[in-house]
Amino acid sequence: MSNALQVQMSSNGRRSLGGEALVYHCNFYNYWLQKTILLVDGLDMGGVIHDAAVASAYACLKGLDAGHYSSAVKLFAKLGFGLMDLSQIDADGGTVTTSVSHYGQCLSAAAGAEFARPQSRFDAGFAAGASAWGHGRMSCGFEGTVQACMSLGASEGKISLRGRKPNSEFFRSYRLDQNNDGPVPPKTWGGLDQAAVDEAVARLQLVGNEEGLIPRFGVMLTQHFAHFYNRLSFEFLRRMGDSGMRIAGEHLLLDAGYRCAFHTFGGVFLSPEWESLMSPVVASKSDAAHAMASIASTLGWGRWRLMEVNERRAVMRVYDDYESLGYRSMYGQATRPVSFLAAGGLGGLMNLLYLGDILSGPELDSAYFEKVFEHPEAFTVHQTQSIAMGHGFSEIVAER
Amino acid sequence: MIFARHSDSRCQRGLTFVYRYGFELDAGQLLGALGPDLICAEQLWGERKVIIGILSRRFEVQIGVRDGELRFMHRMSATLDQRESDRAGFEAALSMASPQPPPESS
Repeated sequence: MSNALQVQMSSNGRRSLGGEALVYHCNFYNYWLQKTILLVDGLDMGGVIHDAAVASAYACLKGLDAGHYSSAVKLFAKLGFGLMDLSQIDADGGTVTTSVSHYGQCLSAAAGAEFARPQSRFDAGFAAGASAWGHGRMSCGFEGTVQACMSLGASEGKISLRGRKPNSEFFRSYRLDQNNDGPVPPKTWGGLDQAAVDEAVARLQLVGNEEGLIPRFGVMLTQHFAHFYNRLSFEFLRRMGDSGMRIAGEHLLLDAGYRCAFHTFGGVFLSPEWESLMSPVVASKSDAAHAMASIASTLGWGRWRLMEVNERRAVMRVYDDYESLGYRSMYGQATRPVSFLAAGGLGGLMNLLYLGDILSGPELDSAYFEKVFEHPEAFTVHQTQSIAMGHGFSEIVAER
Repeated sequence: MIFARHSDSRCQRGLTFVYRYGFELDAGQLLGALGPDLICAEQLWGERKVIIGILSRRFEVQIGVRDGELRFMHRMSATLDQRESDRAGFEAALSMASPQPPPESS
């Protein structure tokens, strides 16, 4: 079974398990994205979080053809979500417990305040999807309800599962072909080959430890389902659009991307891992930008290539952009670009390097965030091409 | 104090501590002093070899993350009392792993 849980990485940087595309994201992005999509009442985004988790977990386990129920528990831990006990679930449902939970315990560091609502909707969805798979039901066969959550002070997470009726319109995950049918990313930096960066990052073994968490780069990572993020983001946009608030929704998702860049890229820049892997080949800020793009390219986000980078402007192309590919698979061809994580990521990267002098080792605190990201000359970004709109790559320009 | 400790105030608040020491650390001796249940491994971070010790559900030590620097990371599962006790035990072991000054002659 352990081999069956081996994440595949294709030559074009796609990560997958059981046919499900995987991407790394940290507790800060997980917190901000969840907070963002729950901001507007009346969109039922809590239900979307649950059902997107159901569909992702079910599809992954089905794709693995894992056979045994225990593989769901191993999957939960391996991907960095924590420790889940599904042993009390039978064909009619039951109670699931989590003794360790990324969503239950690790989002508080990002929030900086007490939570008023449980944060572990993903866990409930995962448990429901895994149990549906384990008991031969359709993916929507169980519904999970959070009964106790560590984000609200409980000593362990408790989720009750009960059966629900089949629904032919229930979310379905999509599968990304491992073959690359798009243009080949160009080599834009002489520092390190992408293959060498892929290998170096693979050696860091960014998988769940014995308590099912991935504490690296000063953050808690998850190796998460791309479908889950895309469903949350684009269902949020669709529902915002129905209320005439599509543009506001885009700005909110972009902001979540900035937060991701600040914490994930900031954490990587300040880490000893960065020093060990990249310091020998980084001689300038533009080198550092290229190096971080090559690391981002190992996280399942697509291949990031900086076609131009200087203190005033950057042009980045994303090949195999997971956001665009996900959008197109779920909602068809887009009329507007949808690469909000990548756009916020590029803007954040440029702000960190050229406004925040991140290589000098500042404290990554809220004062630094305000100083850099709310600076009157902070970089702004716009998307000029998009795989979701039918282009061969997605392109983002950052300027100030 | 033969080492300097500071809490990593970033995202994993209260979980990670960085120790800097100015002596040739015998990693094997340090890990040995942390008990027989410690699981040990090595990782290559580029050209750098990092030695890792893990006491399940309690803590992880990463030795050699930079020259003269190691990281001590509590596990989320460890209680606050357990964390305090583990950190004290670790610091005692780190002190023991430093080269002892020669006894003063009378």
